[in-house]
Amino acid sequence: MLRYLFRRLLYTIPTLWVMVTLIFLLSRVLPGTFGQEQISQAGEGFYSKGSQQQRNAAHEQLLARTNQHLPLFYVTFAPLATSQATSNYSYLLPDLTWNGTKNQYHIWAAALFTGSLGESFASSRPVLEILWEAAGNTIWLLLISMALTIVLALLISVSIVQDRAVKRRRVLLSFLILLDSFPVFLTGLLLLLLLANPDALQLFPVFGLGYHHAGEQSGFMSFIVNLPHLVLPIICLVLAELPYLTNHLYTSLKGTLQADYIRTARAKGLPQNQVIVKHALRNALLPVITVLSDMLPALVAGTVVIETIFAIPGVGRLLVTSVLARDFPVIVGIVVIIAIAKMLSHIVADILYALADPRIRHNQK
Amino acid sequence: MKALLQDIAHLWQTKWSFRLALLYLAGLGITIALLPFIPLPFTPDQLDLENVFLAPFNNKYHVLGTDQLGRDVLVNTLYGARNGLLLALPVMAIASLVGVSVGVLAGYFGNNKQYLKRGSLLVLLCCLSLLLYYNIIVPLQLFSNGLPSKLSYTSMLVGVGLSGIAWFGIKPVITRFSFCSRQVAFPLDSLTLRTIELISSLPRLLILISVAAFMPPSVMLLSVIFICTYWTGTARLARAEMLRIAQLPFIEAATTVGMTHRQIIFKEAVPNLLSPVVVAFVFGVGSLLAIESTLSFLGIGLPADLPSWGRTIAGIRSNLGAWWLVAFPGGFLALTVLALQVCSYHLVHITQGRARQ
Repeated sequence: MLRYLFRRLLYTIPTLWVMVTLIFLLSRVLPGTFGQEQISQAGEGFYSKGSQQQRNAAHEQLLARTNQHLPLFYVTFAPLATSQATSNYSYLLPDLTWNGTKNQYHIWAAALFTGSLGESFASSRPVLEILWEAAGNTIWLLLISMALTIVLALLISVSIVQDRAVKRRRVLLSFLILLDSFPVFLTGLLLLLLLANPDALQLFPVFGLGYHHAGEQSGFMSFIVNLPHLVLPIICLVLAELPYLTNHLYTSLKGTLQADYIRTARAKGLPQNQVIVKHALRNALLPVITVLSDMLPALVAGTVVIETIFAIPGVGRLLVTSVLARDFPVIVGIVVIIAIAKMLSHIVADILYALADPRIRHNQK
Repeated sequence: MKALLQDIAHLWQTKWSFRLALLYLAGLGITIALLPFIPLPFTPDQLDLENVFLAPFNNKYHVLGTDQLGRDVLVNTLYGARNGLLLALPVMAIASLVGVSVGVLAGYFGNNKQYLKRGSLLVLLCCLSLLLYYNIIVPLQLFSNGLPSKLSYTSMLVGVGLSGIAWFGIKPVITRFSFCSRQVAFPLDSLTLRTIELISSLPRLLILISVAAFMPPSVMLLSVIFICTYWTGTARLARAEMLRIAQLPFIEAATTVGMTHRQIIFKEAVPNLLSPVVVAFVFGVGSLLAIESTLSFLGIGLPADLPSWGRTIAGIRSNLGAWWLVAFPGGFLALTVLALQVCSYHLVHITQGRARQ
């Protein structure tokens, strides 16, 4: 088992590294750096009233502070000279320069190995600190909605798998298909319009999470204070994840009920409920472990949308705001964190799978 | 192909929900195809600043109300459907094509069925890097420096020409040497699997958002990102189906008869994996519609001057009382996705049922 896990890590880490590197390089290689539009715009603008010269100096200072004046990678193509390109064909020859270790990628990667994700362009604070602040809200949201989804999916699939529940099954399954066709942001907005609107029903507060400062109370107390703000977002996430998980659980449970030992249990005279809960459910849960580890990406996508709609200061909204502000270190930092989380969740799923089912031995092969 | 049409005809006769969904989709298709010729009182971007946030059903002109800039919701919803589908259909078609070709090749040839000479492999790598440099990097640089596009065409021509010379001129010479003429197995399958794993190592929306952030929103960019992230699903499916089909007796028979690889793939294998691919296509279009409007809602999808469902829905942020901005485009979106899902649901059931028999 340990050897299998080790090998698996060895496989995943390079893939992750390549992906994260690609995202990093893409974020830097494209034209337009952070602050360029605002600082070096021609004419008097909102950000500066100084002369063109002062503005250029300010821009250069910003580039130097954020290391953006350095070349991007170990090897780069020399920039095109405009005059030369229009006169002859020499621009077609690749002109490679070797930059040594003084390049953006090396600095970023070296910092990543020491556990630092760099500094935000916008606020000059360490990315890790910003992320840590934002993660507090997101983690509560994720954990609670995941737990609720699992419980609900279990209840629904157990109740509809029984032979007698034909009618209930039809209704619930069609309801789930209907639910599945609503994108998360639509569910969120509809709930917002119905349940947090002075014109309809105002049961929950709309915005304002993070208004009560977390530092003043203990963790649990602040959670209780924030709970009303979290109800609607949690419902949204649960509704978004429920169809997928229930479908998997239901299919798996139905498959298990065909097995021989279930027939034996029925022949013994056990009531239907006990057969399902005591005998079938445990085996049916096995394939669902993998599905659970796949839930993470969907949940991440969900939180991005949900946090934007409900104005929750979490990781998802941080992502959207830094995207709109082109704050690349924060974007890349979030990508790295989520990639690591996804890798870990897959590994945990593997371990759980092996623990739950002794037949699985990864050492063989 | 024939089996698929028969399935559809059978479903049409037996399942009322399938018939309804198909009718709805056909109606939608006809509407959006004819939309530019329908005389509408407004264009989607026509501002009417005197009638901002007009409630629906009580105005003669703006039947479904107006948004924060006085744009007509009905017209915007219709054009949003048009833009969404005009983006989703071609994107999913290209993604399916790429996915099916990659998946079929990977599943059919596996890791040790396709042999290449070492020399060919070397030349292939050279050609790829030449194409990458002359057809992507140089045009991008020229474009970002604002140089005339004639130069980019020259560079693209040079790239194609050089790789042509390498493939047809240098390769025959190089493969004469004994080292380069040794045959090596080309690990097509693992290569494909690694690529798919690479792309799916991050949540799709995360890739979409972060890449869309690096460039100003444009239809071209959005389609390219969608294609790059959506082909993997179809490829995985096609590979799995191909692995199954390649074991079947009729492929063996075809090999014995002496059919070439190409004939086997196109005549025997591909028709057999068409149904699951069509199902994945229908499903993918629905998911693309949803994700496109999500991105447009967040302000990083389609450019703001293109009407889209997401753009209209985003108007709710400036006035929480304007429920019609969410209800009409959103209902339309959900209905369309629902119709697509009902279609693929029934198709999946009938193909699975056949596979079990």
